[in-house]
Amino acid sequence: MTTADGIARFLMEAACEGYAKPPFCFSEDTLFDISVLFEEDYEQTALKLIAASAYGAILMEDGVKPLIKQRLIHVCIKYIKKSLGKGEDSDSVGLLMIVCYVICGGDLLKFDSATIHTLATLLINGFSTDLFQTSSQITTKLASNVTKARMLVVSALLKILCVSPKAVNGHILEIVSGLLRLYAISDPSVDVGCKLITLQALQALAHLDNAKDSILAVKPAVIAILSSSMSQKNVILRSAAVDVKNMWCLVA
Amino acid sequence: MIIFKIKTVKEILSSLLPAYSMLVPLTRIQKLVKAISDKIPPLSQADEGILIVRLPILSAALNAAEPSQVEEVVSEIDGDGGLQVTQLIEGLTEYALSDDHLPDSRNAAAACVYTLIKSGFNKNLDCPAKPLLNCINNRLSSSSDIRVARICFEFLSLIVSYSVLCYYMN
Repeated sequence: MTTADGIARFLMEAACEGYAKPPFCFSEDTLFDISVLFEEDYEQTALKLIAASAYGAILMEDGVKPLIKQRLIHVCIKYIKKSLGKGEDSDSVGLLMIVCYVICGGDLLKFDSATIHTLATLLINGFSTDLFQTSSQITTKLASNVTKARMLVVSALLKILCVSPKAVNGHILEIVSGLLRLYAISDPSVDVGCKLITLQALQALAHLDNAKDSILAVKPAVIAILSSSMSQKNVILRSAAVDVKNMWCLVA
Repeated sequence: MIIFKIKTVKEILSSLLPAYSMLVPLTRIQKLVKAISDKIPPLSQADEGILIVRLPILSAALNAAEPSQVEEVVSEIDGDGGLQVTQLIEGLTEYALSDDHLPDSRNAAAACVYTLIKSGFNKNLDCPAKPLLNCINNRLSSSSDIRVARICFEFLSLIVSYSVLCYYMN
């Protein structure tokens, strides 16, 4: 299992930091450094997304026994905490993707509250990364990767909202603004899935009991944005938007 | 025309595969492995055609075979002076990951890789994926082609998935 751990760690480090020592490598000097091998920023980001996706594929594997998944996730969380402790870049796209895969692939009920809180904070910080900026180079050059990454972020957020809602306490404003921005920038003709999952996350937010004040503060903005989507051509999307808007109207 | 032929092959295979899902004689599996190792990677449409037919058959046969039989097949591949099992695994993995081939035969190639790598763990010998890792290390450190890096990352992900699945199956 040491080799498997080493490979998982390599993929994780390549995604988060952009460089790592290749697994099963005897030479101390050999280093895989994305910034040396690839000049363009968007290529470096694409590679980080691919490395994160490869790591995520391991966690999402069917039939893996919970203990082995727990072991891989434990190594990852330890690494994330260590990186944050060293004050490294917490708004890296690669790190965000790794966090999303850990949340989606792991059993959140087995995590302690401090760990979930750390993961939730990193996830929410993700709304301010280049992934959610329409003008960024990666959004234009890596459109399909970016769409998948955004959906992954919202899926992870939805899981936290459903399984461990207390972890997002104090972050409601950032979450709502991130979700509304995502809802507004995603293309209704291409990203229907992304819009629907965003609506689902907004619906889950409306059910949060322990953050009523924040929810009431953002209620008018949410209703205004959702009202503007009543003219959507897509019936499923329009119907979902109506349901979520009604849900928010009932929040009091 | 080719599509028609592929459809016909699929129909024949669907009737043929149940026979290979029973215990298959060792010599037959060895012949199949030999025939496939000669054509990996496929260099022509004819090679591709042979792989489309034989890979699903081999995957069904390997899946049905006893672990000891697979171990014997692996020893034979390494012993007969031809393509080594690690090279065969590398070729099959590259085939499984490439978008240029048909999904059914890619699935079959992936299933073959899984069984072959698992046999290495069963024998408790040196993992057959190790030379593959060395190859990936070299490619990752030297290539600045984003496609190569993507395939290498996917290789690594597959290897870990295989190993974590095998670890708890044995």
